[in-house]
Amino acid sequence: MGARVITITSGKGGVGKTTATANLAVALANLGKKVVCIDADIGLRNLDVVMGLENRIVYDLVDVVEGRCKLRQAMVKDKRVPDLYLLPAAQTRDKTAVSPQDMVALTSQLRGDYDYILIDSPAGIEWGFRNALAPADEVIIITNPEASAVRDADRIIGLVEAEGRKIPTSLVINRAKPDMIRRGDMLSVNDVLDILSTPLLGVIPDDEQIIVSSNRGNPLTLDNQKTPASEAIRDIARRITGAKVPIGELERKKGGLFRRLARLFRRSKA
Amino acid sequence: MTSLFERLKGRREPTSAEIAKERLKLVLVADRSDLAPEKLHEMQSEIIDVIKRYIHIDEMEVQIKFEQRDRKNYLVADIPLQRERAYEALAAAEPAGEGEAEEEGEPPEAAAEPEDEAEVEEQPEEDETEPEKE
Repeated sequence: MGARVITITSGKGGVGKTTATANLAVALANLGKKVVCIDADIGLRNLDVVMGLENRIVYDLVDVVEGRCKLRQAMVKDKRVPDLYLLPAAQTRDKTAVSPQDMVALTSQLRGDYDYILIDSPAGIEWGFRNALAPADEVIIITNPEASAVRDADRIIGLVEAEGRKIPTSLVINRAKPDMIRRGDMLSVNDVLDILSTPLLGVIPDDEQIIVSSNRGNPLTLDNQKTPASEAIRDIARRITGAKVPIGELERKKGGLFRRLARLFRRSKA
Repeated sequence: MTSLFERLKGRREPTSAEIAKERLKLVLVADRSDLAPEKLHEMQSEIIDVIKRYIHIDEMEVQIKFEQRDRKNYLVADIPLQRERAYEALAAAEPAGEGEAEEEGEPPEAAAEPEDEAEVEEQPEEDETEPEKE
């Protein structure tokens, strides 16, 4: 067995799945873990660009599945961290080129040699999502504190439950805006948890630096930059490895993390 | 900005986050049960009709709503009985439940605890049947 296969999904597009996957992968690799990330969004690949590895792709997932290359040949090594690889999606094919069974077979080839296999699921609930879910040992659902994203997250949680494999599922709330939550103009962490009743893995505050880092193809967690989002993602990575990073006190208590962050923001403005 | 005092008194306008939460709860009931929102209304009035065949209820005060506990939805009915009848029913029957029924087809039980129904108790023409008058 070896590796844990973690599928990162959301239902709704644009909530930050790919960016979260890239940053979590880097953060886990920086913790000394051997990590592969697989872009399961065939036809709309983007994990390569967010990770800054787009120019090094030779083969892709579909080439592997169709036997045009060996699995190792398609894996792009990220040279900036010790043990991180990307298995890119095909850009010119459609989702049906890969089946859920292919994904299970492919990940079982990798399990022995790595600690974590992160699968970046495409948006939606159809073929691509099914592919991403099939080999999952765990599912991380990314959502935003917005009605539409929470609704779609609920749907995904229902679909994962309906798989019948009892896949452990946890929730990451992305793009939280402490100021808006304090004003009552954004669903709070507790509001989202009330509705989704799914264990919370972390909260990532909205952070402009995420966009800057995507522009450059340097995931925020690469260097030791301390921005609100990179700190939150590093904490999530440590929780994934089993470290007890206090989530209860910081993020669940009303206003806890947010009041602290808001204080930080105000201080930096002054 | 609403003051804490106003909040405690519950007199402020709901915030947009609260509105979002309420809307989400409702839409998720429909999503999860695969029941169109319009059908929910229909079901409510049918439930009321059935209960009316057996007991007199205060129809204006009936509340049938969905509540969520741990990813499970509950259909919760709060059905005040009409004053005199409620009192008779209470005296005759064993203690009633909390007025909750699960979605899985169990019939809703009427909430028959007069002390829960402040509105009914305040109706002056029914004072003589008031069970808890000092």
